[in-house]
Amino acid sequence: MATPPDFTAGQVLEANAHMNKVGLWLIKTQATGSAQSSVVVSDVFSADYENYRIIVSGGSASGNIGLNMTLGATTTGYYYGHHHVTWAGTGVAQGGANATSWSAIGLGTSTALSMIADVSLPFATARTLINASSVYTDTTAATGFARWTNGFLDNATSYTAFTLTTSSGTVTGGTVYVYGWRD
Amino acid sequence: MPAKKEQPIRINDNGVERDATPEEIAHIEVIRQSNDPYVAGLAE
Repeated sequence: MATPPDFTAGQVLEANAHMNKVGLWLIKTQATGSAQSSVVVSDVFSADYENYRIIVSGGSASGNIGLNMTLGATTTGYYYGHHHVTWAGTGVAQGGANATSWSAIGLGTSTALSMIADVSLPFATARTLINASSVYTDTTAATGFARWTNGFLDNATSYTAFTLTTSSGTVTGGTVYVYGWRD
Repeated sequence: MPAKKEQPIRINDNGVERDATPEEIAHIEVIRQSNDPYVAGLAE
């Protein structure tokens, strides 16, 4: 029998030998829509998974923006540290303590939206942790940059939904993908 | 000349695109209180 993921045509996929070893499952795909200031993604966190991957790609923004992420209706208790490096090699460090969101954890320009985030324990009654990266697609060496963000939400609330809110302006034509990492 | 009408704030609510309610607009304004200063500078 072939070893996953190298299956053969017509092979029977067994639960424990194969399917229960698949690491990442697509939970939801949601279009950002056109000229939206806020994108609410509901019914994605559950007891099925402890850890999730959220990807925002494609599309564009109406200007140079950040995507601020929040869980449920919570607008307090977000802690995070950003580090980003411009194409010119300049490093910038920023942070937020007890903030109203994980600020600019994603980024948007007129050419792309960018965010990849791993979220741990959003459904559990425990602190939610986030580890994310994004790219600001500006070809100017002094202002284009790559960003990494790590943080947590200081409460023990169980969440099923998250929201991406633009720092200003709107997003159009992107897609939000939510995956669950198998426990 | 009449004043330019402001565009409504739009929300994609779990796949349904609609105008934000006043409560939702207030919620967005609270979220934007934590706007990243570096990114805000790029927007100007």
